[in-house]
Amino acid sequence: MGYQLDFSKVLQGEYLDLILQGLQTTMILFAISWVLGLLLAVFLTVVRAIEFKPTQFLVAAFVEYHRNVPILIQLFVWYFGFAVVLPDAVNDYLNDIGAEIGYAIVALALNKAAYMSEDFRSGLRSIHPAQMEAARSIGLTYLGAMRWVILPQAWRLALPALLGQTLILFKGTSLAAGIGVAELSYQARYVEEQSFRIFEAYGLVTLIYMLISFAIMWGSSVLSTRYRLRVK
Amino acid sequence: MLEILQNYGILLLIGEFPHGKLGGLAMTLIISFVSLIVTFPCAILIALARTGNSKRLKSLASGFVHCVRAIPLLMLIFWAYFALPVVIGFPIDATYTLIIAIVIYQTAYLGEIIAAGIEGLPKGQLEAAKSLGLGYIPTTFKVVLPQALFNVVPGIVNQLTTIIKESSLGSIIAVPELSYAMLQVNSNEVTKPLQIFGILAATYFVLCFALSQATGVLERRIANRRTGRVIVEAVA
Amino acid sequence: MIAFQNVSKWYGALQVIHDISATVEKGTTIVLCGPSGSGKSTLVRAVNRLEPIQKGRITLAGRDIHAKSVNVNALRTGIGFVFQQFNLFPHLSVIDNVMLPLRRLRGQSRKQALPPAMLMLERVGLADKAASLPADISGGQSQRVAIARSLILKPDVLILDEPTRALDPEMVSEVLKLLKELSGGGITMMCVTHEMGFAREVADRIWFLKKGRLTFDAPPDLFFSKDTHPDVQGFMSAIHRHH
Repeated sequence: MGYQLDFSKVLQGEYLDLILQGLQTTMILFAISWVLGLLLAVFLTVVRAIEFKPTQFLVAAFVEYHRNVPILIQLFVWYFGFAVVLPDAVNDYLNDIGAEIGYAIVALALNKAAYMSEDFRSGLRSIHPAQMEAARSIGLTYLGAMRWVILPQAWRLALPALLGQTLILFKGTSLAAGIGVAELSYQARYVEEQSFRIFEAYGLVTLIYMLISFAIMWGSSVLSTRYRLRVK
Repeated sequence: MLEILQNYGILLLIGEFPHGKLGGLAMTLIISFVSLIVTFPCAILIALARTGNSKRLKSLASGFVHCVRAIPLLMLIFWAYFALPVVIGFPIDATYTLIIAIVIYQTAYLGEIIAAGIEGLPKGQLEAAKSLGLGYIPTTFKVVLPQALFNVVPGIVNQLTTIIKESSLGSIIAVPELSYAMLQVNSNEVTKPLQIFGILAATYFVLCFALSQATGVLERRIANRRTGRVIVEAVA
Repeated sequence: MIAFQNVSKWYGALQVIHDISATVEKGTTIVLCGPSGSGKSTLVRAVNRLEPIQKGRITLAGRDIHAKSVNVNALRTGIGFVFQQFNLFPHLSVIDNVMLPLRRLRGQSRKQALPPAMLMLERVGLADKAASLPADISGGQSQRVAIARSLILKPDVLILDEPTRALDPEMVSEVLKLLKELSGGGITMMCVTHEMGFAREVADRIWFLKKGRLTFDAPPDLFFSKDTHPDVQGFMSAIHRHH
């Protein structure tokens, strides 16, 4: 095997620029989808907590769709499917400004919202009903009890699962390559094809993924310990 | 939508078989089951290393699990599909590279599930086996694993659901599975992407939703059986 | 202070409170006892409107507490309630548990709420545990914190629903000692308990409930005398067999 490892090619000039651009896109995908997903998850959790069958069913259907269909297919549905619903003019405009990343953010955020709302829900469900009763017996209103007693416990209970979802989302951004978003994995392929430095291109990108994943894992374990809710 | 199913239903189910390569849903299922079956013994090894007494094996297994968890599956697939043939010097079929990537990836996850099953066993079980004079191998294979694996059956079925979903990544490296078949249909019928990907999503949904419901049923059954057993033990 | 007038309550078709009428004088301590399922917990929970009643009236200082016009949250701030399982909030430290009513109901700042909360903790003998989390203190200490929390808004009435039942035997006395101190301080107290020594020593009147009926309402002297109600005698010998 005559392959000589030489990282100098991918660690400078155009190729390094492409990979760094990919990293930037990956981080944008990750950050925006995370924030949107979390906000939507809170909203879904509230809707599902309200005793009204039709809306509860809708949220459940939303959650089950996103849990039982591969993320890649969810991306396809938005990218290929949603585009035909829009007028041509809108599509042209979207393609000009690089709509792939928008579709990717929507798909990833909706997917995370479904999972995170389930995490919140199981956090809420694991709080003993006596906590609500005790809060009300003090004289707190229902909303006051939620605000000061139930939710502060619920997010702590959900935290480890939410942090797990955070890592899954970070890795999941790579699937955006499937609809042509020029994020890190996409650039790894591109640089490899252009430079023929397959091990260097994949090696560098894999290393970047690993470093960020390890940072997320480390942060997760710090936060989980810091905010662990200990119940006797 | 019916028209698409009429024209492409067979392609969706079995690909170009019998005139060409097997593909479609059948291929997705084959890839998923084969991946799970190959993963299984690897995951048991990881779990045993994680829960065993050897410090070195423990940190090796833990290092493997953490590294695999830190990499997107897509990158593993790229390594297996594009880089592995360069290393070994001959090309491998895309389907095999997909299976290899899934097996490596799932070994880390399933290994953790089985390890949790082993650690969840009552300590008395091990002590009882030791007091009978059983060595490590018989204790592991006759006492620990049968119980631990039984208790994590729901987790294993759940991983099958995950694997089915993950196998859709095969479409990126042209593995002729379900998603790839639908991408082909989409390039033939350019005007109906919403219907086409709707059908694709629905197919996965039916499959995975049924499996996750089964997981729930299994979980309740096994939980009942375990609590039942505790009562019997308490009475005895 | 508190008056029960022909109070009845059903769970579905099952009647759990049968036509109970009685009064609690201001500043007195009532101990409620009786076999399990006799309705004593349900009765005291109804005073705090944790349970609705279907017939009769419960008045507090002359006001019908189940009337629609009564603000339930304002009502509850005037009634301290202590549960069998303490129900401290596990995400808050001991001092934060005690301060919570001051901060979230009285709108006080942390700085304002801290001195009275510390004073209250000193009163229950737990000033040194202020920064601890509920998971790190004993059951007896937890219950004393719960009592401190229920007293921080200076309620006129304190209701305790089997406050020592979940405690290990060695911790029962520390809680009873605190309750004894409180009962002399002018507060009106209703306490569901099977601690008969405590009842004899502290109660002004003892109520005996059986199958949802208030069958005997007497001062301790009479309650523990030979002339007591026959139901009480049976109950007492059952308790003695237990201990």
